[in-house]
Amino acid sequence: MPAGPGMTILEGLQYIREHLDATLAWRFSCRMGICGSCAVVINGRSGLACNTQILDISDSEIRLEPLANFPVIRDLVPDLGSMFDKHVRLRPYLIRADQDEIDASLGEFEQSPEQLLEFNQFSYCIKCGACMSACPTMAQDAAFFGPMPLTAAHRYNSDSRDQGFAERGRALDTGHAAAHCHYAGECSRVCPKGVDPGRAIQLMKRSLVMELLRLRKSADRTRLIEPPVAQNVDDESLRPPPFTAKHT
Amino acid sequence: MRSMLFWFLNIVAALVILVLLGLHLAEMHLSALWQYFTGAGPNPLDWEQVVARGNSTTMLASYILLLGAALFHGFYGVHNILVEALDGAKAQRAVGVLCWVAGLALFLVGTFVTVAFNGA
Amino acid sequence: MTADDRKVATAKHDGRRGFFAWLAGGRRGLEGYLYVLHRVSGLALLGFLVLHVFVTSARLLGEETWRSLMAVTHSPLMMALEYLVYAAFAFHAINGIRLILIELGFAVGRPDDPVYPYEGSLHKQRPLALVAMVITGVLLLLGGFDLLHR
Repeated sequence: MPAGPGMTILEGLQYIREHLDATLAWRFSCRMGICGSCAVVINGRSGLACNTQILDISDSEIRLEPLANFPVIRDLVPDLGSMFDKHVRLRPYLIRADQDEIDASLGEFEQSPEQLLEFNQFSYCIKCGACMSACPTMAQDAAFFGPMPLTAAHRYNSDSRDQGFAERGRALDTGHAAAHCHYAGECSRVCPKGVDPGRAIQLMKRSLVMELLRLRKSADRTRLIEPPVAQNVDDESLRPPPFTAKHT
Repeated sequence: MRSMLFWFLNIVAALVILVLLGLHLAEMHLSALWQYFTGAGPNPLDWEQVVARGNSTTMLASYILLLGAALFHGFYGVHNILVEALDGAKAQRAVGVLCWVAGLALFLVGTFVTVAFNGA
Repeated sequence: MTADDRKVATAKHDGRRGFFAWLAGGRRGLEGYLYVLHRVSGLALLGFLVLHVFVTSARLLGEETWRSLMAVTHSPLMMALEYLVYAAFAFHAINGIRLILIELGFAVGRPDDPVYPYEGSLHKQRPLALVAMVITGVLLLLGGFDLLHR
């Protein structure tokens, strides 16, 4: 099929559907690398179809396969149910003792930029499943949680507003969790958003071992701060400084 | 968490092996190189050398420690590989039992030989 | 954990690449192949250890038995295999140090804001991986020289 500069694998698939085979099935939505629907295996490497350009691939032939390590529904469409089940099992949400504050919040949880940096990278995950497809442990072990759920668990464990480390620890205790990651690094290699699940899982192992040795710093590293109170706008100090730019 | 405890112990065993097996292999595999520079010396595999090591409490203790750490580390690894590759709780439990039994059996054999040898 | 947790966590799924998937399964980076080699060398070392425990127990049977055993284990083929065991240890140990540093979170770098082209933990640990391979190479050479001077 004809391919021009800038043409993506996703556009190629649409060409095939329009001109060659109208029965081809695959998932896509945003076509701009944010929804995570179009993850496929391109010449043995997992990635998004929408942000992989055809002419960037140096091989003479392009072979598309559905994501590995999942059952296939049809053509390029995998059944990602197991991935999302494992994700849910690891409680991917803030867990706090003061549930009232979460349900009907009165204030704001204080969080410094440094505290935000501890987990922000891992929140960019778009749940595309490329990492799950690339992971060699996922390739054998059905019960292994996989890079995406483990990264999500670490994202919440390292959020200073979270108090759910113990609860997630219990959910992780299946014998098929972080200890079965051996840092082959494939997940980080293929992640289309730079989430670096490999980094997240090693940092999670470190926090789990620190917890084991009773060396982990306790949770509760945040406090509720009062919402800002509306100020009287006639207050001199709140007026903007005079405009000083001159027209030429 | 049990799996993280074993994972951590595996690292501790690895560090023990790094030192002890490093020394053991240096003695067995780099001795010729060492003697090339420092002058001829006894072959560590000669009977007299074997007896001499057998009579040293330090050597015996370090051999037993090395054997224990190496078996733990090795069977932890094999256990990982098999548990990942095999499905089903039964098969995975069987792998666990097998690894423990094999590891302990080999440890007992090795320790017995080490302690029982007295140069006779 | 609840029974539900256990059921979901151990649910079968198809599409897995099989028993030896860790050995070969798609194009990998350097770290992916180091993972394979680490497992292969580990299995080889464990297999050797089992043999070694039994072979060296022959010292219980006295000097004559020991000497004839040493004659058998010093044939050229056996010496070559012994070198391979030494090589497996050299790689497994040095790569193991690298893995300990990575898996305890020391060599993966701190979390940051990802900016394309996303230099993450793979980039951070790459110098460590290269140094590890150089040290392994040096140890292999030293072992080779030793073998030639036996």
